[in-house]
Amino acid sequence: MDTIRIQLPIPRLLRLFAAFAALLVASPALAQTTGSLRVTVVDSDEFEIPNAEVTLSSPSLPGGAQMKTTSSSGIAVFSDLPPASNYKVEVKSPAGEALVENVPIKISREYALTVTVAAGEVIVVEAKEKAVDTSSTSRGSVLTKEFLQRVPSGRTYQTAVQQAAGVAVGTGQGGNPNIGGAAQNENTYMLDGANITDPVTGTFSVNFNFDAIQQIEVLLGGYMPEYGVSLGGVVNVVTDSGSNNLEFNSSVFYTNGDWRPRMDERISADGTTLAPNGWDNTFQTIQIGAIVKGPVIRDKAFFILSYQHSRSLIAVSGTPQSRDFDAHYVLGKLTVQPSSEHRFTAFLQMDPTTIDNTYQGSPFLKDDSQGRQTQGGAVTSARWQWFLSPETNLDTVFTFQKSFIEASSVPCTHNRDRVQNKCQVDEAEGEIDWYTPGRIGQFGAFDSVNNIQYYFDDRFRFNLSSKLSLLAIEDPLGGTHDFKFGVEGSQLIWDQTQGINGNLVYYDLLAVPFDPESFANYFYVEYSKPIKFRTTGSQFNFFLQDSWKPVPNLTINYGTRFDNSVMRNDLGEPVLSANMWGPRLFAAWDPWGDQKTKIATGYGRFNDTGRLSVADFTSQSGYGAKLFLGEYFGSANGTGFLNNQTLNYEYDPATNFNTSHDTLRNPRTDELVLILEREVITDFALSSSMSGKFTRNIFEFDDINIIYDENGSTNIGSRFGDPDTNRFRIRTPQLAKRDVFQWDLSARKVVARRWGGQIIYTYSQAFGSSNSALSGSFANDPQTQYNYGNLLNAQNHVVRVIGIWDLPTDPWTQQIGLFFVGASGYPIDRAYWSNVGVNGGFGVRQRPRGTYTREPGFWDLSVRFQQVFDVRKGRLKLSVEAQNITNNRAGGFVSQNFIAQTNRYVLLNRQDPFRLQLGAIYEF
Amino acid sequence: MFRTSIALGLLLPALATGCAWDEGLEIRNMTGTVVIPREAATRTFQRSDGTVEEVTDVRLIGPVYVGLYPSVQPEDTVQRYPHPEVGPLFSADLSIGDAYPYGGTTIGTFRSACLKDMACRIPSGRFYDFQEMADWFADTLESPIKDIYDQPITSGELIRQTCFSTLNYTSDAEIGLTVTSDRNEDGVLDHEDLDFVERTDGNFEGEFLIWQQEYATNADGQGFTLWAFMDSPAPGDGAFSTCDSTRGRQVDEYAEDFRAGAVYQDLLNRPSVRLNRGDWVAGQQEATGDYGYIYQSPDDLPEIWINWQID
Repeated sequence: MDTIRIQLPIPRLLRLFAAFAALLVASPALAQTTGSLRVTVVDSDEFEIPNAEVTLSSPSLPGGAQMKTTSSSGIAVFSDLPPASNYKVEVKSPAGEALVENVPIKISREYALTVTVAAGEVIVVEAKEKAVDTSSTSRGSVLTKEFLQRVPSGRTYQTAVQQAAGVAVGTGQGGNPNIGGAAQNENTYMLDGANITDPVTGTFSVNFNFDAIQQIEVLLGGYMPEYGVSLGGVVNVVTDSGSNNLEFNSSVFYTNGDWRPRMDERISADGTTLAPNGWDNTFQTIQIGAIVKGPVIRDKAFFILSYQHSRSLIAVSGTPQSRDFDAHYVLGKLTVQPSSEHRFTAFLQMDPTTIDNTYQGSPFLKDDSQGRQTQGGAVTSARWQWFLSPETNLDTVFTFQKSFIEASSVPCTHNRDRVQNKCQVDEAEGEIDWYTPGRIGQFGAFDSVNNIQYYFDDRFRFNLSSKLSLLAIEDPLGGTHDFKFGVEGSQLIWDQTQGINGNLVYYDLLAVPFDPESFANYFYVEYSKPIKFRTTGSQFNFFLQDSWKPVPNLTINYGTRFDNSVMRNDLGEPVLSANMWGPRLFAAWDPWGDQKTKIATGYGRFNDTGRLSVADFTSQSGYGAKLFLGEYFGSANGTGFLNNQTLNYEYDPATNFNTSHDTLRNPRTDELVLILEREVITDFALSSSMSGKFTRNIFEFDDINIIYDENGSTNIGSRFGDPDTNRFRIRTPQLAKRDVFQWDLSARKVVARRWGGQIIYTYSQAFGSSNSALSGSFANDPQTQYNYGNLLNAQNHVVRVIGIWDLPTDPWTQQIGLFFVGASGYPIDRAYWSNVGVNGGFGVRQRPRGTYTREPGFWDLSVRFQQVFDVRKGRLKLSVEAQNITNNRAGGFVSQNFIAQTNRYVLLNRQDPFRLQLGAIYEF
Repeated sequence: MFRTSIALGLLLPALATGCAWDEGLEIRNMTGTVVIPREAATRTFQRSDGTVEEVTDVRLIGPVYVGLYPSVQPEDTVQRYPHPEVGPLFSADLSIGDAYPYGGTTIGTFRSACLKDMACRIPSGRFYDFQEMADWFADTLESPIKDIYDQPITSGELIRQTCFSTLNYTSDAEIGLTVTSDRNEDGVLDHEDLDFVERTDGNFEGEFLIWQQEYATNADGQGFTLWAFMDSPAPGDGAFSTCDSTRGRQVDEYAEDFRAGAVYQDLLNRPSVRLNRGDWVAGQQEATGDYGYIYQSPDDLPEIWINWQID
C-alpha cells in the first residue's frame, strides 16, 4: 500500500541531529498529554483520494488551523492535538467537499476518521466517539470533562478514577486506589505530563481544581514505555489549556451528609462499640471555584487561571472534633505558540492545605490532644515542543515540585465557638505547644493534654525530560511507524525533622473505672532530642518505542525502556541501585478492517524504580527511647514511680540496626493481556479485557537477629546476642511475589442520541505473599509457611453501572447521570498472639494469608440531575447530586485488633452516608 | 523486518536476564530428624498407693530445641555435658558466654495456656485430644490441671471449652495443642500425627523444620553444627524449666489473670542456664563420631540423637 513519504533534506537532518543532541543532555516520563487524528478521504465508492486538502481547526488548537494534503493512500495525520471535543475537519478535493464537526480527541488515542466526499456536494456530518478503538493496545479508559461533569464523580480526580474498570473500590487508603491488582502506592500519577507521584510514598501528592480537568486517562496495563514505570496503574491527568474563546466559570458545590436518618451505634453486651455511628456527627463539604481562560493572542497564546477553595468538616467514629480540611488550589497555565515550529507551556499549581483535628480513629480523645497538619506544595513546569516537521517533534519538559507536610498540635484558641484546643488564660491565640508531653489513653482512658509529636517533612523533585517523536515514517516493507525516543533524569530529596513534644510520652489508664476525667500513669517513655535527616535519590532513564502499522488494520506496539535508579539513606549510602530493562510488545488487530472489532494481545515488563521510603528504612537516624513504669506499678509495689531509675524497664538506643542486602533487584511485573472488543450494533460494544500480572522480587525485609520457634509465635534466641532487638535486612527474595488475574467484561453504549452508558463487571484474583513493598511478610521466618494466600487486592467481584441521559426538553437541557458500584469484600486475617518483643502482641498467622474471613461487600448508587439555563451572557448550571441514595452503610475497615483478640467483627468506620450535593456553575 | 529484529533482540535478552537473577543468599528451609532414646521417654512413678509404675510415653518428651552453632564441645569442656562453644563472658551478671546460634527451631512449643494451671506445662504436639490431656495430668502425673476455682479437672471437654471462651478461639486448630492435621497423610487423625512417634526400634523420632535458614560455612568450607536438647517435664507437676512464666499472652478473662508462659527468649544463646538434671542433650553421634551434626551441605538431611542425660 502507499504510505506517507517523508523526504528529509540536509538542513532538516542537521536540525534533527541538533534535537537529538539536545535530547541526550536533557533528562521524561513524558506521558501522553495529547491525541492524534488520522483522516482518510474516500469517495462514494470508497476509493482513497490523494492530494485532498484537509484542514483541522479548533478554538483549542494553539497555532491556529492546520492544513495537510492527503497522501497517495488518501491519509492525512495530525498529531500533538490538545484533548478536546470540538475539532473541525474540512476536506476539499476535486471529488467533493466535506465538513466534520465535533471530532473528539482523547489523550494518547488516535481518532480514525474516514471522510466521504461526493462530487458537487458539501457533506456535513457530526463526529462521535468511537465504540471501539481498534489501534490501542493498552488496558484502560479516558474520562473526559464532559463525562465527569455529567455523572456523580466525587469531584476529585482520585475519586473519579473509581469510575474506570479495573480500579478496586473501597480498598485504597487516603484516596489512593488499587489499580490493576497492584498496591495503592504502586501507581504513577501524571499531571500535564509531569510526574506528580510522591517520591517518598508512591501515592498522589497534589490536589487541584476538579473543574480544570480536561481529561483523565486511567491505564491498568499494557501501556507503552513512554508512560514510565509503575507496577500498578497510571493516572494521567491533563488540564484545560484555554482556547480562542474567553471563558469564565465559577462554581459552588455544597455537600451535606447530615440530612439523613441517624444510624445508631452497635454496642456489644460488654460495652464495646462493634460499629460506630460513623460520620453521623458531621459531614459537610464546600467547594468554591473559579476559572478564567482564553486567548492572550488569538491562535498564538492561551491561558487558564483556576482557583478552588475546598473545605470539609467530617467526623468519623464518634470523634467529637471534626476533621477540618481547608485547602486552596491555584492552577495557572500559559501556552504560547509563536510559530508553527515552537510551542511553549508554563505551568504552576499550588495546593496549600491545613487540616485540623487529624486524628479520627478513636472517640477517646480530648480536644487538646488533637493534631494539625499543614501540607501542600507547588508543581511548576516549563515545556518546549519543537515541531521540526509535520511528522517530527521534540518535547522537552523541566519540572520542579516541592511538597511538604508539617504536623504539630492544634494551635490553641480563645474562641469559645471553636471545638478545638482551648488556650490557657496566659496563652496567646494560635500558640502551638511544643514542650508539654502528650498523654495517650489506653483501655478507655482518653488521650489528653497535648499532641504527641511534631514533624516537618519537605520533598523535592527536579525532573528534566525530553521526547523525540518521528511519526508516520514509511516502512520499506510496508506500513508506517511512529517512533518515539525519550530520556529523563530526576533528582529526589526528602528532608525530615521529627520531635516528641517535651521528649516524653505518657501512657495512661483510667484511675477510676468509667470516669473519663481520671487517669493514672501506666508507663511513660522518654525520648532523645529531635532528629533531622535527609534521604535522596536519583533516576535516569530512556525509552525507545514504535507503533508500527504494517497494514491499516494491524498495529504493533513495541519498545523498551531502561531505568537507572539509585536511592540513598541518610548516610548517603546507596540502598537501592538498579539498572532495569522494561520491554513491551503488544499488537492490535481489526480482523475485518471496519473499525468495529479489536483483538489485542501482548506482553510487557514493568519495573519498580523504588521509593525514598524504602531507602529510608535503613536510615540510621532514630529516637533513643527509655521506658519507665508509672504509678500503676508504683502503687502496687509501694516503691514510687517517676524518674525512679530502678524501674527503668527498657532502653532503645538511638540507632537503627536495619540494613540492606548487597544484592537487590528492583521489583518488576510481567504482564500478559488479551483484549477482545466488538461493536455489535451501532454505538454499542461488548468487550472482554483479561490481564495476568506476575510481580516478583518485591522489597521485603527479614530479621537477621531473632530466632523463632516452630511457628514463629515466640523468639527463642538471638544471632547477635541481643534478643530484644530486631535487625531487619531489606531483600528482594524470589518468594516475595504477587500474581494477579483480572478480567473486565463490559457493555458500552457511547454517548449518542442523548444517552450513553456502560456496565462493567470485573473479576479478579490476587494471590501472593506481599501486598506492597516492606509489608513485613518475611520478618518472621517460620511465618513463611502462611505467607501465601489471598491478598488485600483480591476484591473478587466488582460491578459498575454508569448512565447518562439528556432529557428531551429543549431549549433547556436537563441531564441525568448515575453511577452504581457494587463490590465484594476483601479478605482479612486473624492474627494470633506472638511473644516477640518485650510485651508481645497479636501478630502471627495460623493459616494461609487471606483465608480467615472477608469483609462484607458493599454497594453505592448515586444520581445526579443538572438543569442548564441560558442566562444573560452565559449559562447557569444548577445541579443536585444524591450520593449513596439508599444510605447503605456497609462496614468499612475492620479492627484487626478485635479480630485478633476477641474474634469480634468490629467496624472502624462505615460507608459514606447519603449526601446531597447542591451545585451551581455560571459560565460564559 | 530489520527493525523488528532489533526489537526482538532487545526483548529476549531482557527477559533472559530477568529469569537468571540470583539473590546471592543460600537460604532454604532445612529439615531433619531428632531421635529421642526410649529411656528419655520413660519415667518411673511412685504411686500414692505405694506401687511403682514405669511409664514410657511420648508425653514424657518435653519441648525439643534445635540450634545451629559454630561447633559443639564435648562434655566437661564448656559444661559437664556436651554444649555449643560460647563466646567470651563480658557481662558480670551472666553466668556463661553467649553461644551465638545461627538459627534454630523447636519441636513443640507453649502455645495456648487457657488456664493458669496450664501455663508452662503443656507443649504442643504431645496430646491426641483434650481428654487425653486431662487424664495424663490427673492419672499419670497425679497432678491434675485445676480450673479457675482451683478444682481438679477430669473432663477434657472442660479444658477445650475454657480455651474457646478464654482465648476466643473457635476450633481445636487455633488452640494448637492437640492433633488437628494428618501429618503422616494416612487418612486418619491419630497418635501417629503427634510430633514424635515411636519407631520400630522402640525409640522416638520427630521431624524439625528450620524455616528460611541462611547457610553458613567456616573457612574450611564446613557448615555449622546442629545441636539439640530436650526439656524433660519436672517431677511432680510436669512443668518445664525452659518456659518463662512471666512471658506469654496476658489472660485476664473472668477471674483469671495470668501470663500464659513462653520459651525464654535467649534460650538458644545460653541453654545451660535453663537446663537441669534430667534433661537430655545431643552428645557424640554414633553414626559420625562428631558432637552434634556437622553440615557438609545445606542439602543434608541430618538425624540427630538427643542421647546424653544431664545428671
